[in-house]
Amino acid sequence: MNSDEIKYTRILNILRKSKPVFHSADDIEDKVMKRIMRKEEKQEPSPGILNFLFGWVYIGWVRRGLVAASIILVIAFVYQQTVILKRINNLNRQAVFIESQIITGSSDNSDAAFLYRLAGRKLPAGKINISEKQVKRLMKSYNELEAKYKDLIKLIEEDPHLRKYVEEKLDESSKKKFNM
Amino acid sequence: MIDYEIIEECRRGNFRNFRELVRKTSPFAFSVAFRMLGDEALAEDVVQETMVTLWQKIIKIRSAEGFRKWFYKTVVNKCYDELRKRQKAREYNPDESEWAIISNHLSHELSTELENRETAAIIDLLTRSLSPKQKTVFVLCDLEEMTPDEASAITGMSKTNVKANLHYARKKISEMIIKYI
Repeated sequence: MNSDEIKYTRILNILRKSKPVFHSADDIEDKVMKRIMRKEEKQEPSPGILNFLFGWVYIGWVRRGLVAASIILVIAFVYQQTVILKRINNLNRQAVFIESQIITGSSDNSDAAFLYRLAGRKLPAGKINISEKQVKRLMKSYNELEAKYKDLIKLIEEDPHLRKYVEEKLDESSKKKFNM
Repeated sequence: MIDYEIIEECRRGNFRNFRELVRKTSPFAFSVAFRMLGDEALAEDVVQETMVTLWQKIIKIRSAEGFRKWFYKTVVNKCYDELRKRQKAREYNPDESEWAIISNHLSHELSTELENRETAAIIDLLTRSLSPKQKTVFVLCDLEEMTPDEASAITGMSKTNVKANLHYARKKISEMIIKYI
């Protein structure tokens, strides 16, 4: 041990030996107890106010009535939630059903399905509003045109030269439309 | 220090003997607080605060055995807050008279104990250059004679951290002693 270490140890011993003297122990004790008492008093509101605010909970019929009311409210809430959920599920299913009808063409309204296919499936479901009457008129005119030009279509399909000529003309007209 | 019966009673909500608990434990709280803060009035405030906290939380202490750790931890944390507050505005002005007290004690092997004022002055001078952590560890391990395990439990530092801080604290204090005595 060198002299510095000895000094350190001796100083440490002096400090250890000299325990701080707690002069005002009693005073602090009293202060602590007073503070605690004060806090306890603050924590407990006067019984008069408590009785005024919450005294009614000790009346038997009020308690029973409140319990019954709360049970009824809970039941009503649960019932309402069930009904709402059921309706939401139902509406959800309907929306999916209608869309699938349009896409697959499985509906009884075959005209609508046909129109959808004719449009090259480019009509987004639910975005265009056409009345049933308008659809029927459109389909009727399409069918009439098909029947009217049935012979002409047959003639063109049978003659390859004519068919080629018609196709060329149709191509030209479509190009013109495109240029415009 | 620990009277398990009183603690157990207070834990169960019986505060009749709380005054007794305060009487028995407050000197220990004061010793740590005074050595850490070097100010009697501040140390007394810390003791008061600790005792009020003790009253509020004693029911939550899991066991009477865990009381000692909890108690010192509360004291140290309160002192630690004070030290951090004070650390910002500190200047070092070595006081000849206080170094003279130490020299006198060292040279004449005085058997009398130091007064509070002298103890505070010496600890303050020796630990001026220490961080709050280092000072805490020094007070707990070297002055209150706790083991690094106990200091670790009280301060929340790891055992290695406690040892490292203690090493640096001792080194800095030794430097101060070499420089001024």
